[in-house]
Amino acid sequence: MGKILETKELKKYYGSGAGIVRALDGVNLSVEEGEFLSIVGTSGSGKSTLLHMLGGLDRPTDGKVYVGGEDIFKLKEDELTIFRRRKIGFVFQSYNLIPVLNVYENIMLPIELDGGKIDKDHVTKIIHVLGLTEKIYSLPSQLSGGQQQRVAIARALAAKPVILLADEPTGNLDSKTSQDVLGLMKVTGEQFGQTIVMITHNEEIAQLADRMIRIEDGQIKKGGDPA
Amino acid sequence: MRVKNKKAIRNLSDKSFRAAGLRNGIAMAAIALTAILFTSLFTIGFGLIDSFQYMTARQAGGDGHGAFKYLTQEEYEKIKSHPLIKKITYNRNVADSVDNPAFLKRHVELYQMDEAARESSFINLPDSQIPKKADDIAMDTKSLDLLGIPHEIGRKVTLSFTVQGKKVEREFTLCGFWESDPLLNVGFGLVSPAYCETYASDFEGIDFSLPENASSALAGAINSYVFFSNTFQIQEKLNQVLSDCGYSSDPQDSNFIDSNANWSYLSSGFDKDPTAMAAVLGILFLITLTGYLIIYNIFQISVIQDIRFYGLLKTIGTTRKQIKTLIQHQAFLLSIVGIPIGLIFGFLIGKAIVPKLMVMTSFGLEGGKVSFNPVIFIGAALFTLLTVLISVRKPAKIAAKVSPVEAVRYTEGSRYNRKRKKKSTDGGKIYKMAFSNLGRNKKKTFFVLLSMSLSVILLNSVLTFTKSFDIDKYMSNFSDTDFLIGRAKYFNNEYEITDDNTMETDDDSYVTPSFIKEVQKLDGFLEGGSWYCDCSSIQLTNYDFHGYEKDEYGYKVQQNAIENYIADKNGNAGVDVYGADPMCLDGLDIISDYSEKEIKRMLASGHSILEGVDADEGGTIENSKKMHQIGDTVVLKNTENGIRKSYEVIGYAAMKYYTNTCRRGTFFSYYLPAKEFQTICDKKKIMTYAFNVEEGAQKEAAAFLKDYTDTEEPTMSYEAKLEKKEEFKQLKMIFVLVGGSLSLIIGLIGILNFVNSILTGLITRRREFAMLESVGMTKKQLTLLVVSEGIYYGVGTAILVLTGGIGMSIFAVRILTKNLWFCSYRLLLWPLFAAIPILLLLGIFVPCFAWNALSKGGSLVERMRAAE
Repeated sequence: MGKILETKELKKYYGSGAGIVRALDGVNLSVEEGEFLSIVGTSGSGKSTLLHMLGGLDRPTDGKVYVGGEDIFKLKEDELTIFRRRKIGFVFQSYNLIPVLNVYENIMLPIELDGGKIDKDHVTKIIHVLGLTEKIYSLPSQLSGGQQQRVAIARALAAKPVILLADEPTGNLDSKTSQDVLGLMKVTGEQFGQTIVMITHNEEIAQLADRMIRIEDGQIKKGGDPA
Repeated sequence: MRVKNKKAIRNLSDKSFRAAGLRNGIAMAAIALTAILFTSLFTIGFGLIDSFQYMTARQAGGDGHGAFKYLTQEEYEKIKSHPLIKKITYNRNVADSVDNPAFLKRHVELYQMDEAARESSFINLPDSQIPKKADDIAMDTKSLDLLGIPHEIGRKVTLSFTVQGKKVEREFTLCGFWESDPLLNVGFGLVSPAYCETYASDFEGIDFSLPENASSALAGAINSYVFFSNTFQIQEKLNQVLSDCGYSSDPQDSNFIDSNANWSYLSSGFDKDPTAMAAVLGILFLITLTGYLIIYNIFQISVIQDIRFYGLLKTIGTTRKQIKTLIQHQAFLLSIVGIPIGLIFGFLIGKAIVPKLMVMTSFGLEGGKVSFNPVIFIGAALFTLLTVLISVRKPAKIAAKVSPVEAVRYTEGSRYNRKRKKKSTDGGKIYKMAFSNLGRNKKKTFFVLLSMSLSVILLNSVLTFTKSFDIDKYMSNFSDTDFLIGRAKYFNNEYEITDDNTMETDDDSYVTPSFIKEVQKLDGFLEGGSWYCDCSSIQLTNYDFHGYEKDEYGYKVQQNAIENYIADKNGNAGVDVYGADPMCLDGLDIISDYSEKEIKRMLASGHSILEGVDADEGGTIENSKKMHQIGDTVVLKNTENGIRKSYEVIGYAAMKYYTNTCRRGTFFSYYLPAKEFQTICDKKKIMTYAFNVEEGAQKEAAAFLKDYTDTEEPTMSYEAKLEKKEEFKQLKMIFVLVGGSLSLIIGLIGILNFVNSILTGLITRRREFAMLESVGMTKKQLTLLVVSEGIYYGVGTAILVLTGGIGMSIFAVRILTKNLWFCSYRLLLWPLFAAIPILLLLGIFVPCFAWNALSKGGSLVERMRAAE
């Protein structure tokens, strides 16, 4: 298995001079294909900033991010957006579903936006695995938090991304639901051979991953490279 | 227990108020525009009423609220100190008529006036020019011009005039003069009180206190214009004054004094005119609705935007009432700034429009006046404030009702979708998503669509209305032919009236054959015909009038009116008989049981006659005014030559005041062919000559007539269709101008509303857009989404505009035009279709610009967090 994701001396600074904030300060990280990696850290440790860099949502001050060997920050803004919708799937703490679209339409949205052909079998499988078959015509406002997050996961997986990035996916859920959702995510990941990077402040949740790294003050303190 | 929390609430209100800069700007603009609408409406309304009153007062010769007529000195003294009267004028007639030949086309009156009378007759004379000596006279400039006297004090003025039937000629010295009123074709000569003393014997012949003399405008009679504290119920007040002074307003009484309210004061009749009231109320309602639509929308949006803030307030213990107060307080603050701005601009707009309107009316020339009436501002401010308060009620209620827990999860539209599922699989397509977005708050979307379409619908209605102005219908009321020539006397409504008020015929009422000959020689002359009329020598004899008194045929004729027309106890009544040349006869509108052909044949036979019946403005015969039934026999007798002839009434001819009458009313009128007319009446009695010219020759012909009647035969005059056409066009323009400007302002409000809802829609969904971007929506696709929403607004508005516009046209405008005699309804659609591309362009460009302005600044991550 090759390296699917790699960072080189990744830095993100905010402000300048004495008030400078080093959100990321030289992060070197690599992720194997099909690996489930969790990143833990306290709030303000820089873990969210790192995830944003990995997904191309934000540009670093310095350093590089390679996804499938490609330096993503060499891309222009719109190219990066298109890269994102083809290669990266996101799951956010606050679900971020589109309120006017139903479950199925939300899941299909990234593919629709890409104008791509829809692999119906794949999508049906995902919907089935995530237990959403009964709910495909419901609107987000008609779903519980756990259900909404499962829709978000399905949406992230529908376009067969290279990497699934999850930002505190269970942050808004109770612990029982958290376990369920995460269990589903892991199962799905294994079933589709999906590389997953998840950030969380909850060590217990993080333990479910194949590998866990810890980040403090913008630097990796433990487990930067695959074991 | 009452808690002193006012200050806290106000403080909170002020702080959150300042935070909402954009909304405040738009809301303020909306309030200002609403105030502009109200103020300009009120300014135009008041300005028009004032101007019309002023102008009609000038035409009527005075601006008094009412008048007492034909008073003696004693009666005047008694009335003048009545407490109801604020001001009273003294105008004493010193001549029955002024008879100088120079005044043939201008009626000149001779008066002794006091200062109040001069003021109310709009005569401005410096003290030094007021007549004092017995031979002093002051005159208006146009009358002096006609006499050929230079405007120089000290010049001799010789006037020949009639006093109580006696002809006199007297020489005066010009002591003053003033600029003639262009609106008024009446001249004035003013003499001094000393003159009245010197010639007191002039006025002693007739006792004006006798009721039989109480309606004659003879030398010696005093007319007094009176002013009350207001213009309501003028006639009632006049009657009150009379009865308090021991006089009567009943013509049957021996102590009767004639009085009347000035017809130029609309308010004396306005309260009784339900159509005008309904129109005013309708416009007020329309403006309130327009204002409501936008102000409501703005506050609704801003409340939803700040819903978490209100939830938070509730969490920390703010009551419903306090939140309502808070929002109302903000609305009030906005009004304090917005309303004065609107008042100023509205007043300026109104001030600019009124004179234009007045110039375009038939009054012409002089501009209208706009008074700085405080009622305008107080009224407009109150109406605007009322609109604002009504508008914020609902949003305030929403804010007050929100539960603290719900507020956190509140997103626009989440309330509406809770029950229904959405059975589709392709909603992710951008254009479908855009459509769904409009459905988030259906009410808001609908209001935006409504406020955008309102102005187009209104404009279309106005244009349809004016397009329905039927020039042919309008013209047919005034003229059947291109030109009508006659004596100046005829056009002054004095056909066959002699100078000394007796009904003796005189030759200078008739059209001269020389004039007709000249006209027939005109280039492009097509056809012409004479109207003959004898209204002085023909009697209806041996006729049984009892039926009219009993009213058994359903005729609505007052008994005393019939009696006035019965010349003697044998049942003889004076009648008007008209004769028509073939062209004129063909133009008559006839109602009869017989066919057109039969009528012609029967009339030619010399035994048949048509009864003339007054027609309304639309040319329709008024049935209640028919005096005979078809088949009745009438016997006409010429009192001058004794010829007697009997005719059978075979139909009714429509009498149109401006085309085929002598312009004075009688109860009995008849129409005969010219040939037949000449067998019983004098053939010289040509009332008018009507003629047509070729297309394109009208202007030249009019110029010829003007020149000819000025120089060759100055006693002749004419009326031209061309001039009436101009008047008609101007009437049309007024409606277009007023309706157009109203539509424009409402259109502006609609666009503002649209901009507002697009902007707030984008602002509230900033985070959602960031999220869409995170899952791979490019900027281009986002722009497409936003623009699609705009296009849907455009399309939606277009649909509303088309359906509403056509509906309004068919249901409202058509019915309105049906009731107006000069209109024929015509469906007008192009303004609706012309508006569609504009609406679509707005739909594309407004969101495009707004999105460009808003999408800048902040990285994706920042934007995603922004709203949290």
